[in-house]
Amino acid sequence: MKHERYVEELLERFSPRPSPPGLKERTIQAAEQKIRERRLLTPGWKWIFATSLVLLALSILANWRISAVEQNHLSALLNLSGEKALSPEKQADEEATELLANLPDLDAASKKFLLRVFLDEERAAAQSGQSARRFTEEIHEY
Amino acid sequence: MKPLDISQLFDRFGEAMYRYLTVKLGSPDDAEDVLQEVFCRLVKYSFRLRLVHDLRAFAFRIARNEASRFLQRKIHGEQAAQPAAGFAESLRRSYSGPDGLSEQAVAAALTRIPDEQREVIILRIFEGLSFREIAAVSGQSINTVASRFRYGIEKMRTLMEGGK
Repeated sequence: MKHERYVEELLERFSPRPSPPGLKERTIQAAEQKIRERRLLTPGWKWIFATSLVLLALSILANWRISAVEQNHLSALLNLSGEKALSPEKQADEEATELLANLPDLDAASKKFLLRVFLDEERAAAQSGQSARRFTEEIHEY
Repeated sequence: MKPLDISQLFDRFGEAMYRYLTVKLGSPDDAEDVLQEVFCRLVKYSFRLRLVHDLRAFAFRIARNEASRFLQRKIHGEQAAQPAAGFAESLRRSYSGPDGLSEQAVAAALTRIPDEQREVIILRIFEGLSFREIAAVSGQSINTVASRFRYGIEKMRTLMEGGK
């Protein structure tokens, strides 16, 4: 009966045979070729990628610049709004008209008095440089 | 950190991996194809290879994984894979025994033992890997690998004695 050690000893007497000639060169060459083929950024793609990045950066910059200019235009338009400051008389007249439209039963004397009150307030406001107290500001809800 | 040179890598493990792959796949041509894939991976990992503790075990593990992928592709492909079909011939091409009779007897016995036992025996005795390295290659525990080796040798002995 053969001992277990016999099998191990027999196997240990085996030696590796030399590999086929040119195996190293073929393997390295093929591996390098495959790596080149699989590379994501080939030189051509690198250029395309770089150009795209530059274009993207330019478009972001242009967008930002256009937005800034547009914002300036809008600000300028809002600050210099077409309507000029109304005179105290006109302002008072407008406010009184607005109020009187809601008070149809008011007599002529009261209307005149109301107009005068508005006019006084607008004049005082124009002198102090503040906007006049609006009628609507006095409406409170309880 | 400099990457490891592909030529140096081949000098260290190339031929051993080729023999292992030839025996595992049963075909020298398939072994060469898979070896190229293995070196592609080794080059891809070249910067990290400096950090690998046991480079030989790592290289053999890549070879084993690539061989498994190759066999799976073959199974799913047009031809059914029979990795051990050309085993005896592949073994004869890769390793030379003390005499022809021994070669035949060993090849016949190795063909008839389970794949995982055969793999451990080849890596342990023919390629000189330690059980720890084989465990790292196959992803099994050292005890499992050692057991497979013992069972494999025992089975080979039985087969060589003419038993079942």
